[in-house]
Amino acid sequence: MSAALRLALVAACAAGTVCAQTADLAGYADAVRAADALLARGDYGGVVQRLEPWAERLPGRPEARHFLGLALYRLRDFAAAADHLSACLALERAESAAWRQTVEILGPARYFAGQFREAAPLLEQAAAWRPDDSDLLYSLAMTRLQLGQRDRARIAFAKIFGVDPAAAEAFALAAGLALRENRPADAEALLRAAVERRPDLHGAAYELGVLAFRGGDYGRSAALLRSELSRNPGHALAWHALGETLAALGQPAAAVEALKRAVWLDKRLARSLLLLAKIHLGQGGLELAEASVQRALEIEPRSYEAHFLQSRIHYKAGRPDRAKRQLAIAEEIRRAELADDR
Amino acid sequence: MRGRALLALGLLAAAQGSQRDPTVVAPPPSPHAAAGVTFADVTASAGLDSFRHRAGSDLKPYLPETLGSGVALLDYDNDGWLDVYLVNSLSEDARRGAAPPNAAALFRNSGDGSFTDETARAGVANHRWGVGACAGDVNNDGWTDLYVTNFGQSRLYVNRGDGIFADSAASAGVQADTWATGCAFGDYDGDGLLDLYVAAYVDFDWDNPPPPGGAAAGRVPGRGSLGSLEQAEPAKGAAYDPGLPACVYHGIPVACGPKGLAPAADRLFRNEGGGRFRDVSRQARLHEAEASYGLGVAWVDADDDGRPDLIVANDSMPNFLFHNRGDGTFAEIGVLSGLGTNGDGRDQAYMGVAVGDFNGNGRSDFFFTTFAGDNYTLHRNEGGLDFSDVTLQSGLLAATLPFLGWGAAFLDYDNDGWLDLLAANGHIFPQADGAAWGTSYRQRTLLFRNLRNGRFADVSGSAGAALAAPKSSRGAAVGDLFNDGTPDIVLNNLDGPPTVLRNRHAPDGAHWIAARLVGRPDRRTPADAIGAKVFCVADGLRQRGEVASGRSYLSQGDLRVHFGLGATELVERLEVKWPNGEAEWFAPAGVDRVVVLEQGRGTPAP
Repeated sequence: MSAALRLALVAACAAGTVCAQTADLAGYADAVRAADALLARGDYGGVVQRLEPWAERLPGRPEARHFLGLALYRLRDFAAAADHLSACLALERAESAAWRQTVEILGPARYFAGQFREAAPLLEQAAAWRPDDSDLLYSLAMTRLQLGQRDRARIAFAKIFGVDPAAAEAFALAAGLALRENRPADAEALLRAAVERRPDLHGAAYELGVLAFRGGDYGRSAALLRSELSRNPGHALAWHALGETLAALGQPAAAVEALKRAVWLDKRLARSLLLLAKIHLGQGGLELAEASVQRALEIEPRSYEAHFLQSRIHYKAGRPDRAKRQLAIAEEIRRAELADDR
Repeated sequence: MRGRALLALGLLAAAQGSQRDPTVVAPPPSPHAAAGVTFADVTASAGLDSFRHRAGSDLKPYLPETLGSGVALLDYDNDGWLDVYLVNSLSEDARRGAAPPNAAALFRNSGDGSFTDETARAGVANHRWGVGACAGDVNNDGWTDLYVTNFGQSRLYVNRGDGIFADSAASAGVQADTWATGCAFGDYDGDGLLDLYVAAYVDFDWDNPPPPGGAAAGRVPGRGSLGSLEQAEPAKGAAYDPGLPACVYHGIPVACGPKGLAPAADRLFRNEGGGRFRDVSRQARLHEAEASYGLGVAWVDADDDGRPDLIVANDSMPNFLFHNRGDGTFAEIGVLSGLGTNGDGRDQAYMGVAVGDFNGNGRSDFFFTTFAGDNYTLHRNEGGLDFSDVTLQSGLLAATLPFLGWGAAFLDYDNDGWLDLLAANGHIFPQADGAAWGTSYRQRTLLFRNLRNGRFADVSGSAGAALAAPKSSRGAAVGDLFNDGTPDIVLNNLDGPPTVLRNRHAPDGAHWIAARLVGRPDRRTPADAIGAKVFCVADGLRQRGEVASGRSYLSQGDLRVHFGLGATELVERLEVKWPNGEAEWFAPAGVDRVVVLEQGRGTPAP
């Protein structure tokens, strides 16, 4: 919310044009004014404490709802923010400045609360008002994706990234984001459409191969990955994925060969080294496994998985005390990761 | 109010179903399936459809309503036919005291394909919020007793031998009084008396339950702020992200927990004889392990040192492997040994545990069911308390990803001599049907056939429509209900009737042999021989079986040990390693029968 709008609301209350009908409303105006100051200071909890009673006492007033929505948004309680902003929206005069600003905040609040169906029309409206606001466009595109509206998502993503929405690249771009959002069916459909438009599209067979792996179709996955690698043998991640697929097919020797190529192409590919270590571990090749883990630790010294695998190697090698010490390091890293997540 | 509105939406969506999810649609027939083997739903003809499981309300706003209950197969009247005990919880009204309590059910096997409800006469209705069950002869009188875990005080139903049980939990000191879940009997100290392990889940207060969505509904900790969206992401649902409040799943308010709620402590009860048990959890040093959300329980001699170890499947935390030191104490080595987590060192939401030697190397391997979006996990026993996650190379990874699994068992469904795998499934959130999560509330049962090369094939679409029908299953038990030599399946389904899946084998089907073991308490072996290992040597294979209490999810399978023999009509020998360390060989007179192996009646093993 803009400072100008906030001031207008406060001024309206203070001037008595909006809410100076009774002593109760005077108190309300004071509370709104105080909340404005608290908001400016970043005391969002204070805003909530101050205004929640007023929102209950005067449910017909939009101002408290608006400030509560803002404060709760700042507190990242998006569902509660959306509740207040939604109530506020219903109270504001349609198309007024306050109404528009409420729409602009309510859309993202719904989005962050995971209320995609409700978020979509609000974000659409806000993006129309502010076509250059990439944050709004991104929220809108992701909302469309979450709603399974992959073509509308593709068009929105294409706009953000400056790509022709009808181009194969736009389909591939949206597919990548769908993959990231764990929507494999949408990703696959978009990728197939991309390949239809450009059969030699860089990376498309790789992505389809990864999807086939996730679907458990390891044979098809291997074929797609090999197809990608025949055109693009320098694709380290494709070699990694092929290694993983071959491991799933019960071909550890071939998997090792693929993973070695991944590492030769990208010496920083710690995950390939860790997968190599696991395959060697499964084959009883403790020395090879340990060498791979050590290289992975050089790249990512705080890798939980690497320390865990090193612990497993010690354990399998009959070094239980070292295994315990290594596991303690791994656990410490994980605790730190969890703390970071929080 | 807000939570109620969202839940109502969730229910509306649930009614619509999600018919395209892989958890609903069975895969096409598999070329790897055993020919002529299907499972038929005989619940109604067997007479078990009169039972209705019930746990709280349909909305499932609270965690206890989601876990379901177990099932136990036991021959309580020693007539040679497996009977069925189905645990029940309580309806919402019953829990509040506004309706009569729901009852568990004991169905006596008549031996002709039908069962009769003997619950009232046997005195095992429970009438409490029932969770799990396990069986064992706690007083070595030759009659199988029953332990029923409850939310609250659990029961020890001691079998009087006249068809009636007496609840002796209070006098025996095993009431537990917690949210008890899985249980299993095992003689950990080798005195010939069955001890009891009782897992516990959450310290849950029904008077002050955490509301769906929780206080933190909609919050995404540590992310996002107004005006800087580049790092912000929408609410994903933190359920099962360790450390975060687990009351929101994919943006939808759901039953809170277990993360964010205090775990309840598991208990180990030592059988002191004379009908008394003693809580030895501290003396056994079990308390040194981190408090956990315990569910499935299995006693198993994981390192074959002659002493039973303990496996506990922990929800959202690493599994426990309590190694029996042989001095009355245990060392928890789950993560260290590789059994506590998956191969990446990440814990999963473990529910049920199956134990079996799937690769025929003579060691017990382990299979765990987990939460949806994560694969179930197969751990190969490498010997020396070392376990490898072989899920990926076994072919079980992708096939199990969308499922939320509970009951689990190794079973040789086609009697080919190789252990196959069963997993009973169903989501905990009714909202799953209305959401695009790629999964469903009711889920089909999974059956994987052992391909004899370390790999399994999903044959769920080839074993009959009854197996593939989506259900909200929880407890699962395997046993030969009809004494026809094939393993049958009983599922205890949440808020509904059970499912009895009868194994229909082709008449020219493979051969089999089953063994009922009788131990000698005077030689420090439990009378029902729980803990004994049996190896069936036939046609170049040496199959391993165990007399086991508990396992799966809150459930109890057949105490008899079953072996498929394929085309072989000759069993060279049955090798028995009794819990007291004695080893004997038995030469059965033929196949396709149940043989009784009495301790001391065999030939001492060379």
